[in-house]
Amino acid sequence: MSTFLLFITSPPSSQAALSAIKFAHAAISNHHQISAVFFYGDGVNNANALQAPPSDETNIPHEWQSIALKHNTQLLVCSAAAQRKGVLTPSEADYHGLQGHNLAAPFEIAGLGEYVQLQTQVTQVVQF
Amino acid sequence: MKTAILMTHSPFQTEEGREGLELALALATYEQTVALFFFNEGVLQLKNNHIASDLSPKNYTATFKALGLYDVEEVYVLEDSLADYQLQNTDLIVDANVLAHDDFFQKLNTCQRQLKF
Repeated sequence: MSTFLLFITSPPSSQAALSAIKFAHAAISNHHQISAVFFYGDGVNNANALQAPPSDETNIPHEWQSIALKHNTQLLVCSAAAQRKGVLTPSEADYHGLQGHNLAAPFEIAGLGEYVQLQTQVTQVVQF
Repeated sequence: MKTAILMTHSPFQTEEGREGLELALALATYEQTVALFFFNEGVLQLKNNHIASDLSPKNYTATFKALGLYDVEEVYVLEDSLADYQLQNTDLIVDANVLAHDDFFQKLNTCQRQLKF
């Protein structure tokens, strides 16, 4: 069994963002573990709860949500990138004096330090 | 364990370069061994004397000079990519190892983690 850390830098509009979800399902069904998914750069937009794609298309935050809840996978979103690109928790929105917040549950805000620590603990890091 | 940061984008068109550099510095801060690999358009990030004031409020490429302070010693540049842009080692903002194709990718193969920006 391998443990994977997925490093997502692709936006939700890209095929890579969908491939990451397919990869996670394939790894889990082959008895590997996805310990965490770290969203960085344009990848933080995958955690935006305010996405309403047509019902026959993939709702990316919902897919991650379901993987996280079923398989105890941590979903971590880079704090600096999320603030730059407008993916905020209620407390951050409040701090910046902004009206809305949109970080989907159970995504969590994290620092790059957490990424660094995670990448030393897993067998493989795979970037999408 | 060594982490390679691959830089393949030109400096100001997208945010990849800055994001790659920030991750490299974060890894170094936590005492991880980091090596930077510049090829294709990525070599343009290391060109010295960028005048970026009209483009962006911050010229992050000046921060490459701080890599030494973070004990990041391994900066590799693909010779062919430099030649594509008619650049030489002396045009670069940091003291980098300019390597031919085979040596460059051999160095990359020594890195257990590889992240592309």
